[in-house]
Amino acid sequence: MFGKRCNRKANDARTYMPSAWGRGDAGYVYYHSLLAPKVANDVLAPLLDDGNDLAFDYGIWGYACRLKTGGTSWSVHSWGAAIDTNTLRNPFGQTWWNGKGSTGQRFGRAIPNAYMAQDFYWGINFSDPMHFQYVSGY
Amino acid sequence: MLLSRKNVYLLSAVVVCAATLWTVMPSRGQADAPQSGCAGDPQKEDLASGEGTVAVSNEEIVVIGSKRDGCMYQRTAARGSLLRHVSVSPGQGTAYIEDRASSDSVVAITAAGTTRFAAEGEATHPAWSSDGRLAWVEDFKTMKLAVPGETRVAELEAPRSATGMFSPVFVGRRLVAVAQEPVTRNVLTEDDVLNNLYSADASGNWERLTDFEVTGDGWSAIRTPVTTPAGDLLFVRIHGNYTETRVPKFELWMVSGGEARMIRRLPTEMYLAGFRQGRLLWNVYSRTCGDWEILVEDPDQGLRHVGCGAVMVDPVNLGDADMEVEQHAAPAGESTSAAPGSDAPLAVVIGDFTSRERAAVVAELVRDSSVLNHRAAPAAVRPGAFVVAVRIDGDPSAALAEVRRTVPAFKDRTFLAPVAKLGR
Repeated sequence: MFGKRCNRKANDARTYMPSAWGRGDAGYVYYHSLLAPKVANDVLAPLLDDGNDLAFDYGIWGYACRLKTGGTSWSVHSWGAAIDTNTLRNPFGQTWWNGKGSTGQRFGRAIPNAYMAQDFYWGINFSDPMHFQYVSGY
Repeated sequence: MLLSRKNVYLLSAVVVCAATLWTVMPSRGQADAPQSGCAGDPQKEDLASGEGTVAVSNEEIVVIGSKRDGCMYQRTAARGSLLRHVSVSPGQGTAYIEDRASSDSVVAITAAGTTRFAAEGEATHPAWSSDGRLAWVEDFKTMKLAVPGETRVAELEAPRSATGMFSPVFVGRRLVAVAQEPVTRNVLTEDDVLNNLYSADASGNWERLTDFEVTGDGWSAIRTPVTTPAGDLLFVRIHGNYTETRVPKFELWMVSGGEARMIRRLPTEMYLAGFRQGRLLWNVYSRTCGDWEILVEDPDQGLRHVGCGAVMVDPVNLGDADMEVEQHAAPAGESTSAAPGSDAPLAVVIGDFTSRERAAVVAELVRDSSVLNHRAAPAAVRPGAFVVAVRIDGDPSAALAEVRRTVPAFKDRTFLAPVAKLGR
């Protein structure tokens, strides 16, 4: 569905997000063009529209052409088919979701619920709570 | 590149019993009865001898390049599990990983029989020492060391400065591993950003062997370290910039005489697979095999086909046994349709521009376009900037391509973005 890894289509879409680059430091998050309607309009925009912009915390990452840790498999981010969010509070290896936003306010599972409602697979199933991907088994 | 210390490989005179120096843990190794399939047949003898080239192909352990070329030893042990990461050592045996949905097993086949070590998590990359010890890493954090057929399993934690480690390899009596080092505000991700090689002495003290660094959006990974017949260390280094949309660089490196140096650039994505009669073996993905292909480096003929199969690389056609598989989408599929989404406005945007006037000049070149700022489209453009927005009727990818054809000078600054005005 997403074609070759690390190609241009993998980061052809972008959304301006709060706390993308740092706590309270907004920036563009890039991802695959095929996911643009879903990520931009069905996941992120409604969250922002509902006043949940403070639910986002450092950092939010999309496209990244890299290998998975320790292996020869490519990260799903290499296809632009995954978004990492609130990474500082939800690092790889953690088995639970920290729902605190950029001000410390608790937002529960607002962000995970928004992704999963759109058929994203949550990385918490493999100890990567920051990670939401539109493929599974990888 | 110089090593942090010289002469780290002058180790052959150091003979230490590892069990007394690394923490000895209760036994988890169990000697198994021979498996069905090839039990007692010549193929098992091949594996126990550690001779030849052994790989995983079509979920089977295969011996390649002998008179029993390509024959199967053992099928995947159970539904939902995978075989991966094969290591052979002449005179010692063969080891590989059974990757299961929960805890993996490290399987060692020696002349004394088959030993199965139950891992506490994800086990990777078994490696043999010349004296018959086996090392592997669990959950990319803890090194385990054991002697097949014996009951003790020793542990060695990752270097203090590392966030993880993997791919152990013995260089003499010294143990070398790849360490994952933190670079991004100490946030650990599923991906590798910076790797360096570390070497442990018999007391378990680590010292850094390489000095790779990254800045900005750079990343640098180390894969498939192998020991040469002469006792040097070869590895593949992959590096690039993660925001770029091009294949990163692949390079062959060597650590020898206390110094790490690049041997050559590699023409494609390829990983080391050991040695065969003193010649270097490679794993390269091949459409011919529909899987990893094993190639031998011939000084006269270049790379020659040896067989199909994965040695130290991960399977490319199979998901991870630890991950639930759904069928609704896959990265390597053929469909070109967009993922289903709402009908909320999505636009092709060109930008950013620093002023409305600059954006308007470009908007003149594109039919049905308008200039928007953050107030008008907060999810599409940052505060203080302007974009040219082109509403989409139909396929977003086709619309994007059309705009890029219309204003090619801005093709690298043209994206799909949501332009719905948010409610607040």
